[in-house]
Amino acid sequence: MVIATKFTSNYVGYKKGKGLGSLNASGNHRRSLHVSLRDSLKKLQTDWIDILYVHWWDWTTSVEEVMDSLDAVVKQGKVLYLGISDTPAYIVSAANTYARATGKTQFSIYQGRWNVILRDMEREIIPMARHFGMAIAPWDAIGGGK
Amino acid sequence: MEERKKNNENLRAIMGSGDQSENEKNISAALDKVAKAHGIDSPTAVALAYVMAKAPNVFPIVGGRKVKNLQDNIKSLDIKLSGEDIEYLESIVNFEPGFPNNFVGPDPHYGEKPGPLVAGVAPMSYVQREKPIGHE
Repeated sequence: MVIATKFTSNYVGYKKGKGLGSLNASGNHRRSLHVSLRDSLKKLQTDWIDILYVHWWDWTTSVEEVMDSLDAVVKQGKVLYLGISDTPAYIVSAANTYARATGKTQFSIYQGRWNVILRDMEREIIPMARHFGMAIAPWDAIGGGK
Repeated sequence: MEERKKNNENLRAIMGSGDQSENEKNISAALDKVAKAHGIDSPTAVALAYVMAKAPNVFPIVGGRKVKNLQDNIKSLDIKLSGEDIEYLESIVNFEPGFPNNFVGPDPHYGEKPGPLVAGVAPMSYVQREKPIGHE
């Protein structure tokens, strides 16, 4: 069994609502990662996550901050591998290049929407995954059964 | 599809409508045809086999409402699609690789023909890289 989870989406919205109360617990920034991972470990009753994904690119956090804070939780042993989902190829490429150049942990897997009639990922994402030796986890792979 | 309507099993409506589009109808028929050629009755297994045949290390995320859906998903692991199967499936709905992919061409190390720019310089052969496990 492989346990994967994500951070970024506003997981406290149901109690804090839209606005300032939710900001620190959503997005790609270090604080969001810190509290989201802490709460995921508690909820899943485990002391490590096999794959932790960045859920979607939020355009507010730098590549360096994201990779530095993700690498920290890997080195703490709380996360074993990193994944990224719903993010442009050039961002992921910049992130992996930065991680490799600085001895940090690169993304091992990309998750995105891909199926036989929605093939956008073949333009940039699939070749990028090959280049960096990343696996691919397609969602909507059977087009919602339609 | 008729069977599902009769049983009041609606299609997924979280993104887009709960009905099948023309493209979805056509690709479902094509997936069914390829499935039958491989001796199975599950178009969804072929849809999963397709992404696993296109790139290495692909792990499709699957869901489902019934045990049969799960069994169909598992069947996809036994299917190896041929180049012809893939070409046929990709002929049903148009896909434009867009610039710069359609300008420099695809990576010729994966069975694709080199683009016109490099092909215009000299005939070249390319060491072929590994094929995905879902590919014949």
